[in-house]
Parts: sequence; structure tokens; C-alpha cells
Amino acid sequence: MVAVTRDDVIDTLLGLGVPPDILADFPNLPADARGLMVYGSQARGDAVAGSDLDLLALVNTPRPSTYAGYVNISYYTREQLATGIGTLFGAHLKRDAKIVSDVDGRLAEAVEVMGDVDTNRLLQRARRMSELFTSPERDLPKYLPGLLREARYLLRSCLYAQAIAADEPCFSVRDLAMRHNDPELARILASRQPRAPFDDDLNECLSRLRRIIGEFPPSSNGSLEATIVNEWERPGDLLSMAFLALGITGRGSDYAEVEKILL
Amino acid sequence: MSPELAFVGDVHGNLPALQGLWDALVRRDVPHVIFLGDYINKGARSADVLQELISHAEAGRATLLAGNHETALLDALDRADLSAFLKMGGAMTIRSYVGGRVGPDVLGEFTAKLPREHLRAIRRMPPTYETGDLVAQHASPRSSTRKFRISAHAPVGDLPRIGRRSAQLDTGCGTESGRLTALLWPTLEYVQVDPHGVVTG
Repeated sequence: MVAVTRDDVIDTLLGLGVPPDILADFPNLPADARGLMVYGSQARGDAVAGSDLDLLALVNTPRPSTYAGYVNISYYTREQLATGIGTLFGAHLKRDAKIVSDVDGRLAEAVEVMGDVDTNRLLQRARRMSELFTSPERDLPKYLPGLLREARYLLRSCLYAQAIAADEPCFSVRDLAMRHNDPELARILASRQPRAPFDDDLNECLSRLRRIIGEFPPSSNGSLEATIVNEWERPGDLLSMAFLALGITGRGSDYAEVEKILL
Repeated sequence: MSPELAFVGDVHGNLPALQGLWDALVRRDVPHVIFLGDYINKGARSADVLQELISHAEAGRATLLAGNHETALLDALDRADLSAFLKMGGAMTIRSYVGGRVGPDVLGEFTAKLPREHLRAIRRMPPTYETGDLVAQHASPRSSTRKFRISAHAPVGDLPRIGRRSAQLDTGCGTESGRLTALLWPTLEYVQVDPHGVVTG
């Protein structure tokens, strides 16, 4: 079986203009990787110093994302990738992603069918997930880093959806900050933060999120941990987001599997 | 030759599988069973599985080794921090003890509902079972030993891997279609049940 090899991938990425120093951290790919593509700023060609290299690998077996230096790889099976149809994530891939390797053409096929974003559905899903932020007395400070990361993801996704709904699509955080005349937005939404998180960072994200989706529904479980326990047998956005907000803890190889969130 | 011992792989909360396999081993007159750990999480009946296993151990018919899921449970309780345990799928175990929806203070409720007898049994679980001929533990033991090595932990598919020097017994019990496997010693035959506890093959 033909495999996606690290050396071939690095050659192709260098050809796409990815800086060599970032590629020094490139990990070995799993044996079942059938395709790989780069997305985000490095694919669009608007990366700046400190921009991450975001990659998506098509695999047969689900596994958690990996982060090595500036190289982030998310692993998707064909079924998982198909849940991106009609989402911002899918539209984003279709518009910007560049295929680095595609052993049997399946990756290109999967991206081709992504379609338009259902912005109403996205905003409704975001509102449902936002109940996770309504039990801070139980969850902070312990889960601040995870909750802030998820709040940032929701805010960014909702702002992009808003732009698409207004027929003025936009796919960069810096662009969003300019459009909203909100210079702080670029700092708040940056995926890499220069300092440890503060409660204020979370509050700034959440107040902006409320302006888009309205008041958050009250928590039906009373805490992040209770959400995970009570929702465990009803897999969905709320469980996935709560699970992600736990953060990276313990041994990654022992993680249970929870569905990815594709907004 | 009648078996002297049986070794059983990950159970992961599947009570019918455990009961079906136990009955099959009793029918074969196996005098003592070594369970290789990971009794909890994944399946819905972690609390009942531990109760059943503890009864067998107290009757002198079973030895319970610790798996990484039991170790993570103890860590969570000792550190009063559930995050790593939840990340491993601890929700199923907590649900099985709490018996329904849990309130905001998950650690408090779980700790209150976990019987002392269960906690004591988990704390006492040794990591290894060793005789002159074999060494058994949850995750694959050191390969330098000349003894026969028996382990579970890493799923190997529907059938166990049984070689000349080692055996791996995690056949996915606790998942939708995963089986529970026992290796008989010294014959190296195996007995298996499906997720409902019915003997296969």
C-alpha cells in the first residue's frame, strides 16, 4: 500500500513556501494516513511570523490531534470529514486548503462536496454549546484554559458565519478585527496567546459572543464535569465541547473517543 | 490436561460478558482466574462488574490485577481531580455508581457513592502476577524475561494473539461488538464470549 511519507510531505510543503524552521518539528505520520492537506494562513499564503502550520490528515482510524512545535495535525476518517459538509470548516477547506498528498484521490473528493455554509444552523449550534459557559462558579479557575479556548473557537466561528450571512465572507482574524473596528479582536482570537489566560480574557470573548447569539441558555448540568457525565450517552456538540474543554490531561494515548465538532 | 489457571483480558463494564465467561470457566473446572485489569469505563455496568469480581476474589477464586483505568481512578480520588479520568471515559463508571444524572459536584457525589469495599479492593490490586513459568500484567511485561508473558490493554481484534512466548488478550470487551477472552494455562487454549456473554466458536 502506498503511504504518505514525511520526507515527501516536507518537500511539497517547502515548495508551497512553508518556512523550513517550522518543518523541523514535523512528526512522523501514522501508517494509515492516505492523504494530507494544509489549510489556514500557510495555505492562503498570508502567514506571518509565529503563524501555525495547520494540517489535516485523512486516516482509517480516529485519533486525537497532535501538536509538535508550530505543526498541528488533525486526523479525520472519511466519515468524520463528511460531517464537515455545510459547515464553516468545510467551506474553509474548500476555499483555501492545498492538498499535499492524496494517495487514492479520496481527500480531493471529500473536499469537493463540502458545499455552502448553513449559517443559521451554525449560530443555533453555537448557542446550544454556550450553556457550557454558564457555570463559572464551579468550573473556574480549574478549566479556564480549556473554556477560553472553546469560547474563542465559538466567537471566531460565529463572526465568520455572520460575515457569510451578510454576503461578505471573510476568513482571517485580522480582517474581522478591521471590519468590526475592534483592534482587540485580533489579539483575543489569535490561536497562540503570549501569556497565561485570565478570567478577563474569557469575559471579553463571552461578551462579544453574546452580542451575536444572545444570552446563553442556563447550564442544564451545573458544571463542566457534570455535563460530561450526564451527556456521555448522548454524543453531540455539547458533550464534545465539554470534553475538549477538559484540556490535555493525563496520557493522550488513553483518551476516550468523542466526536469532533465541525462548525 | 485440566487447566490450572485462566487469565482474562479487559472487561470494561460489560457484566453479561463477565458472567458468561465466568460460567464457562466454572464448567471447565478452572480452579483460579487471574483478571488482568481494566474492569471499569466504556460499558454501562462498571459498578456491578467490580462487585462481582470482588465477590470472586473474596471467595479465593480470583486474583484482580490493576489496569490503567483503575490506576487513573485512584489518581483522580487521591488528587481530587477528575479531569484525566474523565478524559479516559470515566463518565461511564461515575454514572454506574451514581445511578443516574449527577449534580454539579461530580467528585463529591461519586466519592459518596463509591463503596469503601470497592475502593479498598482497587487499592489492593497488584500490578503483576508471577509464577516460575509466567508473568502476567495489564500492559505487556518487560520482554527480557524468559517466562511466558501474558497481557491485555492493547486491543488485538476479535481473536487473542497467542504465541510461543507470549499472549495478548484484549479483544475489545466493553465496546459494541467486543469479546471477552480467557486464556487457559498451561494448555494455551482460549475461551471467548460475545458482548452478551454467549460462548463463541
